[in-house]
Amino acid sequence: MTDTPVKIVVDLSKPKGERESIIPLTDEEIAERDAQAVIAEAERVEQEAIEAQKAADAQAGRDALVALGLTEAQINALLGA
Amino acid sequence: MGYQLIEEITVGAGGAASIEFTGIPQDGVDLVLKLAMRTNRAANTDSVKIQINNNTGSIYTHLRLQGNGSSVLTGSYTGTESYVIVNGNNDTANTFGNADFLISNYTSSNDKSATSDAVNENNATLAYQDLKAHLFADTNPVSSVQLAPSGGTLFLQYSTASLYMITAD
Amino acid sequence: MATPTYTLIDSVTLATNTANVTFESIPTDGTYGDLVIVLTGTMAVGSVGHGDIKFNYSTTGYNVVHMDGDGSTTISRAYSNQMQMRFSENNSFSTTTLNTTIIQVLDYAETNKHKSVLIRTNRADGLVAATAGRWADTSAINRFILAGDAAYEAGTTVYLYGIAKAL
Repeated sequence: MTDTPVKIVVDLSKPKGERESIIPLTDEEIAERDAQAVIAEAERVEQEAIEAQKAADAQAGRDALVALGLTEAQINALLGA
Repeated sequence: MGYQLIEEITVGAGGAASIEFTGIPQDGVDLVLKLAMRTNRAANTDSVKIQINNNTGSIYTHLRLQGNGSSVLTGSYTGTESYVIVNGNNDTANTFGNADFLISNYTSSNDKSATSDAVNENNATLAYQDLKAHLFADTNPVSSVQLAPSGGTLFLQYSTASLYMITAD
Repeated sequence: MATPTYTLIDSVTLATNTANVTFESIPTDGTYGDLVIVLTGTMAVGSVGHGDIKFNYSTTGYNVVHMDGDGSTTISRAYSNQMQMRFSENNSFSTTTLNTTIIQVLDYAETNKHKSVLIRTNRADGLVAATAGRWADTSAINRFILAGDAAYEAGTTVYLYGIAKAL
C-alpha cells in the first residue's frame, strides 16, 4: 500500500511551538502536483528543441559561408566568435 | 542573535601563512565565512584552501561553475581540501578577491553540505567568478576551520577572514 | 547590544518524507524587508528531481534565468510565465547527496513591484546553479510553498530568516 503523501504547514500567526501541522495531500493536490511536473518537463523539452534548431541553423549558416569562400578566421570575425 | 560575528581576522604587515578558527561555538545553525583576500602568488588569481576539523583526509568534494570573462567552465573535484578563488599578486593592485562560504547545519552528525560564491577582482578581461557546491564527508560538528593559500605562501596584509554564525535565537 | 537584523523566523526539520513545506502568515507589516530561505536535504526520487517554490496561492507568473554546471556541461536557459519557480534547469535534488539551496526574496512585502528572487542550489555530486527569478505579481508575499518532483526526505531542514531594513 502506498502511503498518502503529506505536507507540513507552518502557520507563523500561531505561538512558537504550535505552528506546525502535518496534513495529508488531497487527491486534487496530488493531481495538481503531477500535472505541473508534466507541463514543466514539456516546456524544457520545447526549449531544448529550439536550441538544437538554433545550433543547426548556425552551423548551416557557417557552412554556407565556407562554401562562398570565406576563411574560418573571416567567419569568426564576422560572427564575433 | 541571528547573524552573529564570531571573529574577524585582518592580516598584518608581513602576511600570514595560514588562518585558523578554533573553538567554534556549537549553538548555531549555519556557519558563514566571508573572505577578502590576496596572496603572494605571482599570478592572476589564487585559491584559499579550506579544511574543517583539521581533517586532512580525501573527504572534500566540490562541483564548480566558473566564468572568466571569455568562457564558462564546469568541473568537479575530490581531494584533501576544498577551494575558493581569491586574488593573486598579479591582479590589479590594492584589490582583493571576495568569497562567501556557507556551511549548512554545521553542528549536525551528517556530512556537511556547503555553498560558496567567489570572485577574483581584476581590472581586465580575465577575472573569475566561481560558484561551487561542496560536500565534506565529515560527520563531526564543525569546531574548527583551517585556511591557507593554495598557490602562494602568504595571505597579504589587509586580507580579512570573518567567521559568522547564524543562530536560531 | 546591537539590534539584530537577520533573524530566524522559524524552522522545520522533517520527521517524515513530506511532499511540500508551507510557511504561511509571514509578517508583511514591515518587520522584515527581505526573506532568506535555507533548505538542506534530499528528495525521495528514483534518481534525481527538481525542487521549486511558489508564492501565496499563485501558479502563474514565474519567470527565471537558470545557469547550471554539472561538472562536465554548462547550460543557461530562460523561461517565462511558469507555474512554479524551479531552483535550476537541471535536477537539483537526489536521494543520496545533500543539497543546500539558498533562496533570497527581495522586498517580499512590497506592493509596488514584482518580486525579485535569487536562488543558489548546490549538490556536490551533480549540480551547482544560480537562478535569477521574478514573480510577476505586486502582492505582498505572506506564504510560500517548497515542493518538487517528489517528497523531501525525513531529516531535510528548512530555515526561514527575515532581514530587517531598519534598526
